[in-house]
Parts: sequence; structure tokens; C-alpha cells
Amino acid sequence: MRVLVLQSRARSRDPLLDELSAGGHRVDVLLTPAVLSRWFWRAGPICVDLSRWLVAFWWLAAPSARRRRAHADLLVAADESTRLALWVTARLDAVATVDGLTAVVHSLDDPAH
Amino acid sequence: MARMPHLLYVAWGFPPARTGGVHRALATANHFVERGWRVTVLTAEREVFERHTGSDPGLEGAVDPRVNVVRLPFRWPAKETDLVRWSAARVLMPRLWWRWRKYLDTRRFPEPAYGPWAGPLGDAAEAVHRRTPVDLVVATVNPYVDAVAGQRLAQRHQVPYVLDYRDAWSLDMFSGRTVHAADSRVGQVEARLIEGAAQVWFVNEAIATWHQNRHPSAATRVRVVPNGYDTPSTFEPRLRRSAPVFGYLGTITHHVPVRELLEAWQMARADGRLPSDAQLRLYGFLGYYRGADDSMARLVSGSEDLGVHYRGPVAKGEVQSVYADCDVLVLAMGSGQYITSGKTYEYAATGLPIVAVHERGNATTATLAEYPLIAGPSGLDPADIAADLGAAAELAAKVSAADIASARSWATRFDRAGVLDPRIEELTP
Repeated sequence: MRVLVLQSRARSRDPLLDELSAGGHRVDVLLTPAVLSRWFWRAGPICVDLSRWLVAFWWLAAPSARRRRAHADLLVAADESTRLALWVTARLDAVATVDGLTAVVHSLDDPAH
Repeated sequence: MARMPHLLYVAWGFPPARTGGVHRALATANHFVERGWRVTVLTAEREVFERHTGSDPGLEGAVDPRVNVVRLPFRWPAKETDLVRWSAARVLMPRLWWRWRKYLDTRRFPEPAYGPWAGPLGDAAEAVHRRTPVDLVVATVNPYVDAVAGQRLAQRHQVPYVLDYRDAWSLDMFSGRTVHAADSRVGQVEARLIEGAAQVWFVNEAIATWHQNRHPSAATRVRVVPNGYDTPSTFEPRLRRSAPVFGYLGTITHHVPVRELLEAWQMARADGRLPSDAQLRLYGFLGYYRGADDSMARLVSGSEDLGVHYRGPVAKGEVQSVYADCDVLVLAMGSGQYITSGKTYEYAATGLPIVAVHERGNATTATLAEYPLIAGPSGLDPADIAADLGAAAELAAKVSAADIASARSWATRFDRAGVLDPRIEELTP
């Protein structure tokens, strides 16, 4: 399966990406423009909401983003700022989408061994 | 012919779940059936475990076919990963949505995520009782909402109930700190649940005593029901006289003193207390996530030249073969006087030498104090652990098959059947 992970910043090690890769999926990561997520998030609650919408508009309109998602079977939102973008896509295009944060946080399930 | 007594067993996490306490739940239900009870289990629907917590279909096969399993729907909005199922409110106003969710979760019962199950669970218990009158309810917690079924039948139909608490709701077992004061909402709900119970079970004396002190009027109804082991070891010990293999099997979290263990291992190898060809094999998940915890991975992978090898997680069915390949088992555990672990009993059942790597004040110290092949615990200072590792290596070098058979025989006191039988006998009408 071709998986596109949308995230606002690169991480050196990521349990979500580890898990997706371990599952044998072809994982592609798309970073949102730093100016939309990181800078706005530093500026307070109103800007946080604005940031979500800006990321969503960029995701829907930018040719590079459209090209990348056209080839994906599964879209994964890796952080809070990218959820709105993928939620809108899921509603418009009926593409399979996963909230990566929830998926990882709730993998606290393995047995004692 | 006398009517079989009917047990209603409530366990949110029941096979195929892989949640904490599931082996205890499985064993309890099966043992009641073996002791002549009709058993109905109330649990969550299978899909909850398949979608959210992970499931082990093989475990479901271990449920006695005479156990009647009733599965109830359980909604878990917080764990919904499919974004298309998220409401607009959740996406657009996440903080507000979480506050509202928490209110909905805890409105009826003060346990986030599980609280809304209280209503359906109570109704299901009533339905079971209407069909076949229930003589006893045993609820294994957590989640603590499981206790509601027993409380409902007790209040409306005078059916006695037992709370198998295992650990604690109001006590942080690692720090010993009280997390829910007696006058908090949780504290009050818990007090009512304990007050109404015929018995309350805990896994060790330390936790039981803490609760006896907090609920003195229920003190005589508190019982210690340790975890025990399910599979007796029958493998032939290898009895290596050189190149001993030390094995640790369990989730490797930040609570486990791995750093101290590795430092001690290096010291003991350097000064000859451990043979230069000794190996330490670590099995289990690194951290709680399926993906390895980065810092733990770095920690365990950096000592290959010292004979330390991380071998990854082990399926339940392969655990015995891992034990069979070890000469000494390393019981490394988190600190805290209330801490015990299921692996304590499983380790003891192997009859192999055990090196205890935990605080002396840990509840496990008393459990294994008379185990014939134990080294330590001397403490968590690397120098102390190194001494214990050396003592364990000496044990491994001279242990005989007869010694191991004798240790296995000693450990039969932790056989799950032996642990549960006295409690079942006490509760049988």
C-alpha cells in the first residue's frame, strides 16, 4: 500500500513511520510549509486555528500536494495541524485517512512479553 | 440434582484481548467452570480488541467451551483513527471536543473512556440474572466500570459480588502516592464499591494492606490472590557449565533498571565474576509502543561486544523455548513497595536460577525470598547488581537437574489453580 504521511516537521525517529514501514507499506512523507505550521503555532490560539485552515488550503490547492496525494492509497495525519486538511480530503474524495497521533498513542497495547 | 451455582464474571478485557490482566481473567473463568460453576462472562465486543488494543485469537481458543461469553458493544471515540468518522466539532474545535468528551465519559461513572459502559453493563447484568439467576458476581478491574454490574445486582437482587482489583485505583504503585483522595469523586465511588463487596482481591500483601488501612471496615473481606502461572515448565534444563546465558523476558520500559543492569554486567565481566563468554539476552518490546522506544533501543543495542543481545518480542507460544535456552533468568523490575509482576511466577515455575534486580523493598522480594535458586536482590546500585550477577553465575555453574526439579516443586504454590481454589471454595454456596 502507498501511504502518504502529512506532517509539519521532520523527526529523526518516529514510531508511526516505524510502524508503517514495518508493515511493509511504501511510506512517503510530505512536509507542510514551515511558515504555515510552525510559525503560526507559536503565535497563540487564534493563529493555531488559522494555521490549520492555511495548511488545509495549501493541501487542497498546491499542485505539489495534489500530485503527491493522487498516488496515495492511504493518507495519514501525523500531527494536529494536518488533521483538518485530511479530514476535508476524506469528505471530498472518499480517500482512506488515518489520524496518526491517535493510532500511535493507542498502540499501548502490547502484552507483557 | 442440585442446581449449579451461576457466576457472572465481568471482564472488559477478555480473550481475544491482549490487555493487562487477560490471563488472570481467562484462568479465573475457566477455574470456576472446572469447580462446577456455570459461568457467564460479560465483556466488550471482539471488534474493540481487533481495532484498538490488539487481539490474540489463539487466546480465545483457551476459553473453556462451557463458559458462556456475552459481548457488549463498546464505543471508544477517543481511539477512533479513521478521520472520516470524526465529527466537524472534533476537527474544528479539538480542545472543546475533548472537554465535552471527558464530561460525557465521566458523567455516569468517574472513569474516562470507560464510564459510558456503566449503563449498558448494568442492564446486561440484569438481563443475565433474569434469564438465569446469578449467585455471585466477580468483576476484574481495571477498568473499574466492570464493578458496576456487581453493584447493580447487589442493590437490586442482593447478589454478592467480588472485586478482583489486581492493583489499585487510588494508589500510584510506583511512587506510593495517593492519586485519588478519599473525598474525591473517585474516592467516594470506590469506597461504596468496596463497602458493598463480599470480598476484594489484590495481587500482593502491600497493596492489600494499603487498602485495608484506607477502608478499615472492609479489612476482613480483603484477600490476597497473587497472579500465579498458567503453564508449568517441563523443558529439560541445559545445565551449561560454561558460557552461561542470562535471559530477561518482558517489556523493557523506563521503569526497568536496564541502565543499572548493563553497567553491572560490564563490571562483573571486567572483574571476572561473570565468565567472559557469558551472554545477556533481552527479549520483549522496547517501551510501550509497537515501534521501538528510541532511547531504549540505543541503550540495549550498544553493548553487543559485552555479550548483551536484544532479541525482540516473543510470542506467548514461544516463551517456554526461550526459557529453555537460558541458564539464569534476570528478574529486573521497577521500583516501589507495591510492585509485583506476572513474570515473577512464570520465572519461578521454570526452576532456573533467578537473579533479582530490583529494590529490596519491592513486594517481589518476599514472594521469592524462599525460592531455592535466587541471587539477590542486594539493591539497585550497579556494584550490588554485579555481585548478584556473579552469585547467579555461580549458582548456574553448579546447579543440578535435581535442584531445578526441587525449585519447580517449590514454585507449584504459584500454580494458578492452587491460588484460585481456596477463594472459589470460600465462595461456593
